[in-house]
Amino acid sequence: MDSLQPVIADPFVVSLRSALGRALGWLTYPRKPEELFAAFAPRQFGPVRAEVVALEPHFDGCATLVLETDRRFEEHRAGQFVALTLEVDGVRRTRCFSISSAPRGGRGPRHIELTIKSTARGAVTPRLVHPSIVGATVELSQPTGSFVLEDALPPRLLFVTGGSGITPVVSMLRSLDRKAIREGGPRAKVTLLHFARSEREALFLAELREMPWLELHLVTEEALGRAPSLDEASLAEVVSDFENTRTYACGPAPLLKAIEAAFAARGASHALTIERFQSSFEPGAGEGTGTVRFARSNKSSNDPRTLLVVAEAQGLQPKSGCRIGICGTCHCKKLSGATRDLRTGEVSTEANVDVALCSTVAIGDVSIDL
Amino acid sequence: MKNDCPLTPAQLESFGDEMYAIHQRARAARGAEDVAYIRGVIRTQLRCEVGGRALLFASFVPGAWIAGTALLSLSKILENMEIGHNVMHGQYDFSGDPALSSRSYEWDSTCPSDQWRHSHNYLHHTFTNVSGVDHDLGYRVLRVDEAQPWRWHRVPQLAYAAGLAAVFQWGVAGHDVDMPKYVATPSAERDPLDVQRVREIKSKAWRQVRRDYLLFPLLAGPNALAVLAGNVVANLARNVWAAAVIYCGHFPEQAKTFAPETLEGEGRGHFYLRQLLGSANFDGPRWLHVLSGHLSHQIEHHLFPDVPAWRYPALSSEVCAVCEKYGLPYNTGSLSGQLLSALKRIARLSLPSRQEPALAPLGLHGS
Repeated sequence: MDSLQPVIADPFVVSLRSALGRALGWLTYPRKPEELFAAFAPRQFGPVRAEVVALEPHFDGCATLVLETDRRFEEHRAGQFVALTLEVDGVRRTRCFSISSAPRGGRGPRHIELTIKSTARGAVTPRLVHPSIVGATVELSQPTGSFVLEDALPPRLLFVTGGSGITPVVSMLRSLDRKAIREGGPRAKVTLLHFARSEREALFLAELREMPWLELHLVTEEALGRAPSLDEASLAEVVSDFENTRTYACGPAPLLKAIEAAFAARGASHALTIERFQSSFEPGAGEGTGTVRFARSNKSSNDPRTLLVVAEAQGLQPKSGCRIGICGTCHCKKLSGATRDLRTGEVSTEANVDVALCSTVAIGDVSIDL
Repeated sequence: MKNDCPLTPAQLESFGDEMYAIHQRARAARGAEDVAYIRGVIRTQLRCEVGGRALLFASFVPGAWIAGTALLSLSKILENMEIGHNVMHGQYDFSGDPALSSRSYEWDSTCPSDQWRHSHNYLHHTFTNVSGVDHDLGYRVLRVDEAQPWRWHRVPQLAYAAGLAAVFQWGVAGHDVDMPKYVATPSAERDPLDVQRVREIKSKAWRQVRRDYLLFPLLAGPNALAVLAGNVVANLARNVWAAAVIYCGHFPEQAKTFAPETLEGEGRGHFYLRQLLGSANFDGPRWLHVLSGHLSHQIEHHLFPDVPAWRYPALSSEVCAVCEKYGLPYNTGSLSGQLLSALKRIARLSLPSRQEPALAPLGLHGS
């Protein structure tokens, strides 16, 4: 393992490299050297890319994508996610997905799996779970996120998941399974409490049942005849002293709220780690119904007028020009939320995209980088 | 003052609606093809630049200097016209690709992108051909509009036009500041914003000078002079070409200029009409359109500045049909014809005007 020791760089080499990089930038100006390299050798430079090599459907609107990443993709830790960027009709769209395969547990050395449940009116996920995605190239971020198992395995582990919230957890379970096989038995007592709509929609069920060391509790709406709920008492039925159990939870917001409350009631919030999926916006809320927040100046308003007018009413002085959506001077980054472009009527729900302040109105809560 | 609006208020409104409908359809049609197109142009431009500079380094081989200079000129023309100008208009902002973002794109010109976005995207495109407001009417150097007062120093202005073409990117760089006024003002009395702008121009210009006239020639060693000459010629070629295209856009004889009153309460129909009457196109093969950054379709560009420019030729038939319906002129001709017309206007206005300034206030009909 010596090769993994961090190499302490010679300060002379470091400064030489940065000087060379700067000088190279003088030659390629106004483009950055990386841009030039990426144009000529996209496989070695530019964003990390992956090819969709297979698609395995689970049920309607849910499938596992098998991706072959390029060499620059770093190995993930079980439970981490990636930001995936797909171009849809020429528009870059980025979404985050947990990696469901175990580290080094893909089909090949550079394969990872993402299990994706599509949202009905989404711009991205319906395309990702459609068979036509096979063969497509997507961009990936490096794996990220701190929803990961600690290196030293605790004596007992509890996982609580709902719906597709099982995807980061299945990566952890798969890696525990490999470890159990390697070491001839698990070192920890592991319990999974999973909520699903039905047994058919319970992801990875057959595989989980094949893990002899796993205590699996499946609660389905179908079997219950009503929406399942979780509280301190029902959680104690699964693991009586859950407050002393290292617990990971991932799933819909009500489930996470319930489990947080249960742990808080026993004063054991420190034992719980949760992963929140960013809730995606559902169009339906009306224009001007929410709060416009100007993140950098820390101001907000419920004014329903165009973002430029709202910003100015708040005493901000964003750059503006023609004010009729022609010149582009007022383009500004939207950090989150949904907006409607009055020129085209288009609704944008993307985070981190430019909007023209003078011809855009908010739909629901919106955050602007201003 | 004489009212030149060729349309009745009702016609003006439906004309505006029809142009707006074309505009909306073109905006809605933006998509994968546009992104693929501009990325293709960028790839070609980068290949031309690398190839051109490599050939200049090998300029001891017969023919390599000419080929290298031609490729580098082509690269600079593509980068300024079809890529830089159009990307900075926000034509590709819909893609969300940071490399195609109007806010962050920096072009290879001595004019800082931020100042260009102000003087061109905002001032020129909003107040197109409005006398005294749009400084692209002669760039504060040429008299192209009867309303501009004649002075003795206007007489040799055809020579100024040629001189400006040779150093065009420097003219563009000084455009947002009003350089003649800036230089004439004592430094203590200068607008601090202008002082800041001049600092940015110097810094931007230095980067081009350092790259083209210092570093690449020095790296070429014994070939330094050949590389230097290649870079000088490429920048000159790009300057002259850009100037020619831009003179053709608003200076031909039939392109109208407007009185400042035009802007008062200007509606959608007025806006499109002013853009149409103030601009001029030229025809030619596809490569000529690409090299002009599709400013050969200056009319469509002024009507739809945020639509990817390579779509203008397809949009022109729709625009022509609307013009025909309303009996409006659609000013087009050959490149040489339009250039000659623009030069004739510059020559004519180098002498005092015999007639009254014929500015069209373009107000509501009958008002």
